[in-house]
Amino acid sequence: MTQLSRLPLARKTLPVIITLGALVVIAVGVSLFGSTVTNRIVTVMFVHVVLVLGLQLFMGNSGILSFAHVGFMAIGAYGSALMSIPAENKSRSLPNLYEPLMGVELGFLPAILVGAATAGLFAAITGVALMRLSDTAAAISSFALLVIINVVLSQWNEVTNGPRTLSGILKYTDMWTAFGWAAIGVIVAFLFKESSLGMKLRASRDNLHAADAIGINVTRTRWISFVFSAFIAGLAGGLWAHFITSFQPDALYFEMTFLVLMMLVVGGPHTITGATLGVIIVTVVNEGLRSIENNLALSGALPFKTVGMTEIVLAVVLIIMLALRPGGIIHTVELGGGVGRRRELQTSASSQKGTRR
Amino acid sequence: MHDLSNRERLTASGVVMDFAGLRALDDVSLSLGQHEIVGLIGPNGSGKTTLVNVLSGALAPTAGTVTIDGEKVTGLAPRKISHAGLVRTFQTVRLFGTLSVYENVQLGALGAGIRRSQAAAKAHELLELFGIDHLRDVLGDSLSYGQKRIVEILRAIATDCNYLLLDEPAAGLNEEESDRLLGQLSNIPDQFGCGILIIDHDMNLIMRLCQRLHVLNQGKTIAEGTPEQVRANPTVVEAYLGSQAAPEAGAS
Ligand SMILES: Nc1ncnc2c1ncn2[C@@H]1O[C@H](COP(=O)(O)OP(=O)(O)OP(=O)(O)O)[C@@H](O)[C@H]1O
Ligand SMILES: [Mg+2]
Repeated sequence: MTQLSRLPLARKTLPVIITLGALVVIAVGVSLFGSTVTNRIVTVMFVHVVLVLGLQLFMGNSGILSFAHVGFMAIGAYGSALMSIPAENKSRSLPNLYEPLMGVELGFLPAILVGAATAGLFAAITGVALMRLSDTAAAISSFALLVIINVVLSQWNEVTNGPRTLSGILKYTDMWTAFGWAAIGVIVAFLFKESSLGMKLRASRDNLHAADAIGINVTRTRWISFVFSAFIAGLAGGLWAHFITSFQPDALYFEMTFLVLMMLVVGGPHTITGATLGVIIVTVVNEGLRSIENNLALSGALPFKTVGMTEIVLAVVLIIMLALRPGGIIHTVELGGGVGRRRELQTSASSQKGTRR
Repeated sequence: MHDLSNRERLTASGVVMDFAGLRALDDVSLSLGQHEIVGLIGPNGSGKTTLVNVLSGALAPTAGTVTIDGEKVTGLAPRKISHAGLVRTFQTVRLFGTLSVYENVQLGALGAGIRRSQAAAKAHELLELFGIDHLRDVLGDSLSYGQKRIVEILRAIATDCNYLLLDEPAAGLNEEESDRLLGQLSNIPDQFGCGILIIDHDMNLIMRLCQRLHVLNQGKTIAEGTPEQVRANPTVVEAYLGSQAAPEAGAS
């Protein structure tokens, strides 16, 4: 009995421990045995963990599809880069930048926080309209938002160097920084899910009318979560920018959106363990396919071009996954979140019988 | 605006609800105190759920007014109405299916703006009081039908509401479950200071539970009064009760 009463706590903490444990194993493994290439892949993967968990925080808990998050990531990437690029580099990479911004030279942490806050602010303004729409209309509008962000970033020459590559960003993010942020992301995602805000959001996902009928302000709940989730996506953008160090707007557009949604959907949008697992699986499959694609191209063994093979195979995998397991690999209950559930159900069933007769 | 005599009452007066040519409610007036249980009965399609929809804000009436504690709330959104102290359950149960029983009940309190720690304590207390503490961590979707019904009611009570509207809470329950529900519901007005308006087709339950009945037929009120009066009313017998009225049913 005492064991049973402790189970709820275990159910809440075990999934966190499992997720963090998996990330630690990967980080340690790569730092001990990994090559430069795997180190690079895993660093980006940790950044993706931050992004996907930011997306999960809104999309998974609200049930509303968002295409805009890679756009928020882009805002975070450009915003943080603008804050951190040293003045001497700026005069070269952004010669037409507005004078007041020329001299700005923040450290890594303040820079990515400013980038993330900018993404959050943008989400706060657009979210006022977006969160009033129906689920489908909101999803479509979020797609429009992604396009708008990309168009603005590609055209705003003074600030972004237009569609061309922005360079001169210092490299701050390494594997362990990325790991640290991913770990924070995991903890924040779990805390949010169990918070009263997270509970209200999940309630609105499960039954909108019932949530409304018991007094939950669904629009406001969604809006706050959308802003917070955009902030995290912006943070991921800052981490990414300070790892990649030179990029153009199209690097944060459709392709990345597809990849990130795939990570979330394959793993299971409703669970944090699932979302994290999705990032790991899709990264492995994606990188594996890419190296096969490259090797095939190099060897010239096939009579046709292999460019795009990775995307096609990924898309097929996604379709098959959605058909076989629509809720993702870990769909409702967090991995480790169901400990003792069956046993408890049995005891409850038998105690019910006992009281009846 | 502020009617003193209705300070602790839910009232509907002259409510009309039209759906594209169909008059689902025709000049219906009704009132509910915080310490009574009133039954809303009538044949299928007579407008009972529609009236609950109007009272709870899910529908804005074509005409008529609804007041809660003397305050006019006609046409307000369901969320606002729940904050004014009126909460309803649904004819088809609407639980948060992937959330646990504990979370479901807590959310009632959270929706009403009660702080998290108090909400948790309240949920805990209600689950114990209604003897379903052992279901605490079971997900909404995994419950039996009868369990879902009671959790939905507890979620509503957790809002600290003063008026509880139950749309067929006993539908689909077996006799034993419905008897238990009867016992639990009859205590609610005194325990929580919360009046109940209950719709149900189970006359055995209704006659034993309610102090007053309100009978609808084709959107019109055809009778009001104590269970005895209603059972003896020939119009009601003809329109709805029919042979159901004959059997005993000892009034309590
Ligand atoms: N949203 C709606 N749009 C159009 N017609 C409606 C709507 N809601 C209810 N009606 C109609 O209004 C009438 C009353 O329906 P209502 O659901 O209130 O009946 P009821 O008394 O609850 O019946 P039951 O006992 O079967 O639940 C019915 O003819 C129904 O078809
Ligand atoms: Mg009905």
